[in-house]
Amino acid sequence: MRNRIGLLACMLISFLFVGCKSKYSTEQGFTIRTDDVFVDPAGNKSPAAPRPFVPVSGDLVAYVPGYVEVGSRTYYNESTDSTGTVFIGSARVPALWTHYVTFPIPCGTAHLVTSVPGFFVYDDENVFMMDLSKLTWECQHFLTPSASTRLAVQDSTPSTLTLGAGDEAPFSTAYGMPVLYLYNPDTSMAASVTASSVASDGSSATFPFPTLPSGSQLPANLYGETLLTPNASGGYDHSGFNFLSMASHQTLDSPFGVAAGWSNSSYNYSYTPDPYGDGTCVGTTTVFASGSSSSQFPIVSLYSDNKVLVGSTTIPVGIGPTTVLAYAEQTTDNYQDTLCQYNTGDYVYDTTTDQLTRAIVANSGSDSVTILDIVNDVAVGSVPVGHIPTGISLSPDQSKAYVTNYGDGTVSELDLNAMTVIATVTIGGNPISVSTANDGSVWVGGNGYISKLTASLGVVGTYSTNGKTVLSLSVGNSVSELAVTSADSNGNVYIDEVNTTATVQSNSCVLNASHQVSTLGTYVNSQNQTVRAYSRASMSSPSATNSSSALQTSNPTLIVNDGWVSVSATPTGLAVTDIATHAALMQIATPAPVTGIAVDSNIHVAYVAIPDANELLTVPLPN
Amino acid sequence: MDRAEQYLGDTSRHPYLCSSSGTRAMPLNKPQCEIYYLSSYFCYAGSLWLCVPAQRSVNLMQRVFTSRLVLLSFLFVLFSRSSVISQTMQPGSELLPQLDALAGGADSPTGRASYTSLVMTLSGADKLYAPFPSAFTKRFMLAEERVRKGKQERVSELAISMAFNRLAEIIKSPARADVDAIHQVRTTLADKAPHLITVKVSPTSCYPGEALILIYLLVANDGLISKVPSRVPKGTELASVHVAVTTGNQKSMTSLISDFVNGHSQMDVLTRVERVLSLLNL
Repeated sequence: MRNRIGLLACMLISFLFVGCKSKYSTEQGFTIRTDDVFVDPAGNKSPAAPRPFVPVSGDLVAYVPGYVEVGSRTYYNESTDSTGTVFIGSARVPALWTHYVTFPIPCGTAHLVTSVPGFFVYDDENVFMMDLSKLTWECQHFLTPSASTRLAVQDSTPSTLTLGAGDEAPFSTAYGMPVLYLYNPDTSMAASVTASSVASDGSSATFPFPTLPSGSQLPANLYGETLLTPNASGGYDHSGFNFLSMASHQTLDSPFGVAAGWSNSSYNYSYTPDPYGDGTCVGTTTVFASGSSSSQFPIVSLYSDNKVLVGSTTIPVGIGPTTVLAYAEQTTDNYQDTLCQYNTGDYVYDTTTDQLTRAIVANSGSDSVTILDIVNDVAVGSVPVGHIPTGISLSPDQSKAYVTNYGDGTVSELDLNAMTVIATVTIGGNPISVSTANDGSVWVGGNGYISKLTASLGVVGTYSTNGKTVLSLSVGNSVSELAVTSADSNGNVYIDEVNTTATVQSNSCVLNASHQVSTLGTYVNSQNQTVRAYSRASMSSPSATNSSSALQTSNPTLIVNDGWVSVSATPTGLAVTDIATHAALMQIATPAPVTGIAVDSNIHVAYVAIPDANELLTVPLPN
Repeated sequence: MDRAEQYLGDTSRHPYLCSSSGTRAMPLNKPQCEIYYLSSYFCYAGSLWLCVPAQRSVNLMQRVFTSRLVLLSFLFVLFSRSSVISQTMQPGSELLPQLDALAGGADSPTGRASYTSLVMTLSGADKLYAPFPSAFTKRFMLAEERVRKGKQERVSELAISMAFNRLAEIIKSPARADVDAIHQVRTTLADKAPHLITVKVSPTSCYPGEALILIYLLVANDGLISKVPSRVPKGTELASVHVAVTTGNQKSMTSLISDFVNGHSQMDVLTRVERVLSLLNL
């Protein structure tokens, strides 16, 4: 209490007496940040794109605890700099400040401006623990980005980038050419380019593809874009914002299937006091320092090399490896304790790591699957299965795997711990893809049919697809729907939404919807072999409800849904789709068809396998 | 002595950071008390009328401390002025070749252990509050291993610049470094330490140990890389490009860090350490 009174007195006195004032009065202030972000219905935000060169005005009132205005009132009228930041240097007194800010930035229709916070604490050292010396304003845009190229691959970037003007001021050349600013994830500026041309109606502008100031290509990352048009007053009008994903690529020999390995660690430093000074640590344990790290890495089957790449380590497997899945999540709790120390209490450092530990790969040419230890990067077992294994799916508890054997029309059930086949069932012609529902039931697709099996491989039913050959399928648990990619005899490819409940009840394939997406579904690779899409599809619950329009928009032949982002192979390349708003966020042509896609657990990156181009892409995702 | 050697060899510019007793003080000091005091009157953001009573506000503050504080202290840098380092880094010492040699062998488990051990010692992380050092040693070694095995992303130059800037911000140093600045340091040192500095292998990203060493070098030299010609072409209008600089009358960064540590509690310091390590994905 004495301290409080003392500080209060000093704060009051600081306005009256030079001595105390000099103690607290500094030349410090606070910053206001202004950012644009896209927000999806689940609250996920795209990278921030700052609002440079816009006016910000405000009114600061200083209070001391108890809400007594102490008379320090400051008005300001500034503009943000090129990084969307304005520094207000006149808040010099340690006090509680009420901050009234005017932020006359049009965010466009149906957008919100939020401020955080309107009331903040500022002290003389600018180190107050809440970091409230920074006010961040976000123009939140719930509309989807305007359609344009948002994805580029290093070393093969296009020469130009054409961007839409968004829903604010159209582009104009009346006072100069529009400018594109590109921002790093920390909102520092990465590059800027001036448009080379503008559409006559101002709806779009074409820019040279951005590079670093040195002329070097942009590092792989997800960038925020701000579009500005010079105006009559010598400033800029905001013409919209967006983001750009720069993917990296890795040259590999025939990468075919891909899975995402990951590891997430958290670190906590906690303290239990010794209140009596007798070496007895009791009372509330407080976690006061915490950190985290995460990693994602691709696990890639190298079809021609008969190997699987785990990170940068190759592991020999069987012949012609195709589908690969990672599994067996394991949590390691590394609890490091110390003895309670006299007078100092007990400090504990606790580390927890979650990671995937195993992978399974189908060896299509040697009629087996190989199980890998992806922690120590070794093969731990090989299990013979049927002829030409293709698809793999895991049971919900990840103790079993189901393998479709394309060549002999069977499905094998494996005990992953014992590494043995425990059941085999003949299902029909050329089963190629398999997916497991949350209830443990197994769906299989093949030449002209889909089948439902029990967890122990009892056949519930087999349902005709009216002549269409299934290429891949996936269960959407939340909507009792099966997403099926299939091709008819003319080569037309469809995305069929199968109503699983009605299909079983009526004993015939009942479609909720069907979308013809392409005339290409299979392709001939460089060895003149017909290659099909083996990629696993995973329709997670949050996304499945909106899958229909998303699929229709992105025209995929393969699809991976994770959270709000769908990464899909198109007949000619790759698309990333916001499956909540059904908008294609990014798309790009690839030099050859995509055969495998995987998304890491944090939805940070997608791995894309393009065997005929010998490329593996790593695509930063908007999340 | 060329520039690379100057970076590591000039210990005359490396005054000790440790207190005279050689131990780390960890009391709650004046700023802490004031913060604690103000915390009792902390109000929820945006509302003038929802002040939290003093006792209950403590937990709130602790949460806020953990979740929102972005201040940091890069403690391994702190200890770079410790007696350990002063013994290691004599003027014109062979530290750079030594580090490089160890980095060259870091693909093997034993080599990696030796390398990370030296980085830990150099950075001073081994002197931090127990049991953090032992845990961080394992964590750092694992990160180095995972990155070298392709199971974890390399640390980007951008992340390193963010970590350095965060440090500078916290200790109130005017020095800032952007990606170009980090790249310049790497380019400058690449020939002298090709195993340690991997810019020729990966132009935009680093191994974890390399990242730590780079930040150490920047701090230990007060960001004096402005002497290095920037790769940014003159006339390029890019306001965000700031090469690290040191203004004339400022304290050295290490002195500022020392001030910061002496003015904050163990809890606060470690909170900031974790914030920085998270930026580096360590």
